[in-house]
Amino acid sequence: MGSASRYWRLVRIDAAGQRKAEEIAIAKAFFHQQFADLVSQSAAPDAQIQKELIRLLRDESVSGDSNNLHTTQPAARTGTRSTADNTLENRELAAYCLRCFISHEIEQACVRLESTFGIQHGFTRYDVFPLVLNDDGQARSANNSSQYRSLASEILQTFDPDRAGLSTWVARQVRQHRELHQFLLEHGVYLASDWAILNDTSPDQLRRILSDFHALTRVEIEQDCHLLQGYHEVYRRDRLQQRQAGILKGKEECRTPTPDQLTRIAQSLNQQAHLNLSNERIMSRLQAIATQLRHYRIYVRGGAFPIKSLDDDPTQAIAGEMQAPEPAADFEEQNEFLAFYREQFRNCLDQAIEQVTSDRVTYLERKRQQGQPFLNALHLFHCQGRSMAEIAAEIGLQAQFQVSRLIKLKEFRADIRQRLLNLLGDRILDKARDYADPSRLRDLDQRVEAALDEQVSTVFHAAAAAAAVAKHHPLNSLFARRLCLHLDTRRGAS
Amino acid sequence: MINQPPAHSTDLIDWGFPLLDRIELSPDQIDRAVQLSQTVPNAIRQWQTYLNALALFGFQEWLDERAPDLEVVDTHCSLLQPAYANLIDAVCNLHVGPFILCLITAGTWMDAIATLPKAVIDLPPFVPHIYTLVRVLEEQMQVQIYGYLRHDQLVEHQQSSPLQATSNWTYTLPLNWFNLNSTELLLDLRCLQPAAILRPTTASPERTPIPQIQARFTNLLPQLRSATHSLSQLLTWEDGATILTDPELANWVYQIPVETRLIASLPNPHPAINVSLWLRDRSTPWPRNSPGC
Repeated sequence: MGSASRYWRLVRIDAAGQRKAEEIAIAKAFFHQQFADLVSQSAAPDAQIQKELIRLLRDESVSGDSNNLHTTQPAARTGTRSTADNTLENRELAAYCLRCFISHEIEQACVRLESTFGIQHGFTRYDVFPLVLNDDGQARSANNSSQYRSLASEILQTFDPDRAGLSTWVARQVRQHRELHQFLLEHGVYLASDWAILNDTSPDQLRRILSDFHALTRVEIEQDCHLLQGYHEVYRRDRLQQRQAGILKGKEECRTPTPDQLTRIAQSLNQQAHLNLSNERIMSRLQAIATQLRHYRIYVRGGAFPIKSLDDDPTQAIAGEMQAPEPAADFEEQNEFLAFYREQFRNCLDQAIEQVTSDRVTYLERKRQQGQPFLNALHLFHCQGRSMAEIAAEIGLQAQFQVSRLIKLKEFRADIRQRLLNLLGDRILDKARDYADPSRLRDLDQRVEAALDEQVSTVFHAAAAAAAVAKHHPLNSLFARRLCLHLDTRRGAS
Repeated sequence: MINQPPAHSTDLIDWGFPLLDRIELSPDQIDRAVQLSQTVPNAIRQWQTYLNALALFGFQEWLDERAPDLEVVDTHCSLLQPAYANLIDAVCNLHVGPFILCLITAGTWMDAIATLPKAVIDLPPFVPHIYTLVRVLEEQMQVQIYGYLRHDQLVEHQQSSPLQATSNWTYTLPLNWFNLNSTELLLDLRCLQPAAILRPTTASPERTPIPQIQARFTNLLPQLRSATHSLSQLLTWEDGATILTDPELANWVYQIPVETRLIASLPNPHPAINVSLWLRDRSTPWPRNSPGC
């Protein structure tokens, strides 16, 4: 899939936090020796290479003690002492090659996290590297457990080339890494654990999903459904009991099933479905099911992660206001009833703004003591035209997503619009006619939205629009103007 | 059909969400949900009840934040009546403004199918104006208002695609029948005139005569007590409909003491009753109460 150099160039961070890719000479030499014919290929056959490296790493023909040079049984190749030396070194070198490859994969995972969430959630790959890209690059015996344990060494310990490729395994381990999980949570990103995914999916859903994987037989699918049911029976019950007993409070990661839980799952499977599975088999099947569910999710998404938060970026929607002024005549035609009742429309709008703003402030104050920051953020955005990043700095938040979450612009505007519709229905419009049919109601909602976005000044040059974005001018829609008036009134009153 | 996914799939972000539009649940709400779950005897129903409770509280929290102008009345909802929480996997009879809502809970709808209890489609006391899908992320204690379907829309869809019932008293609906824009739900709740959505009030489903049900229950007591089978595996839908629309029957089913295979941390809150005696005493026709919901 990539060049062979991934097996001898180690990516790591130095003491200053800088990313470095070092060529490990002895790993390179070893790799060339073992895989001479593959080195020149542009796309190295990873599965084959990894299998061989793992075999070398776990070669049991020499005992684990690095000082013991005697073999307990004849070595596979020859029985000479120099071969025993080579075999030991081979293990170390094989590990080195694998560690290099793993470091590339870990780096890629960090890059993907950054590209998906970094901007909105205020972090870069360099923030994440120290948590997971922690191989120190030193040569060491692969088996010495008293030495420094990097994530790479954990990965190497548990990797089974028959079950999955190393890339997949690295991605899995990174995803489950506790400190990374914690870091992401602090930045507003949640990656669900395998055990949560299994908890959230019903056997019926699993059956439908697995039926889409044509490599699975009906018997296998039914077995997996029984297994999921057994898992639910034990895991959910325990989790609920732990919550009840106060052992689990609030957000709690779904941990790996304990041996005791696995045993009980085995018992349940035996009783319910007459299945006899060992604990190890249960564990590996459950992990496989979780992996299949993840694959399915990617598949239905068409392979791309829907970055909903960026698509719905309110700053883009509202910036659009400034570039599309409606000529006054068209507007009048479209909204003749609104135009006719213009003053009443504006009164209802002011009232709706006041109601919704007050309700929001009350709620935010009660929940998180964020009433005033909310008002400040609204003011900065609408009345001073600041960006989300600037607002974050001004009101003491660390990242854009926190501002987005605080003001929830789209929702704020929608709620004002809907309460405005209520008031209009009471005062001006024919409720029986316009509010009794869902599609008419939607149409009305859209027309009101257009009215709110109307540029107050119809003489609005393109140059001015561009300048306004850069130079902190207030937004120019009817909605923004009335909102700013209201916010000023609040400030004056307080 | 899809191939076995590539062995080297490395997409880390296959189950990650930015947390922007999720509703956070408080420790208090979690505690109440756990307590509510304990009101049903069957361990399997307990988890579902717990999730339904999280969904209800999350939904109320959402309305609190977005629409405090809407009045919410939950006193008659099925979740808060243990006999019905035990029987229906949904939150029925939740009043929001002039409308009656039914909340359907799940952890995921990624296979694009929504499973609804038959009761909330076929039995008038449980049929709402609006069906609402609420997603519960239990690990993260967050709730998402996922989508909704008005009853008039359901009726329209059914005319071109009649629903097929499954064997376990549910219907499966295509997810694309639902509107996934929760802001539009608020628009309908706030501004739509109730007359726009008609609810069935008079349909009478086929029901089983009471003596027959009594006889069936006597035969099935061992299975009912061991809780190895769900009601839908033991009874016909006509039996089920009868139980659901008769409060005394519903309560009686609720009272059946359930043995637990695994060791429970709580003493069983349901005292054992002499069921055969009870059945004998009830050989006369039962009084008609007003529907429980």
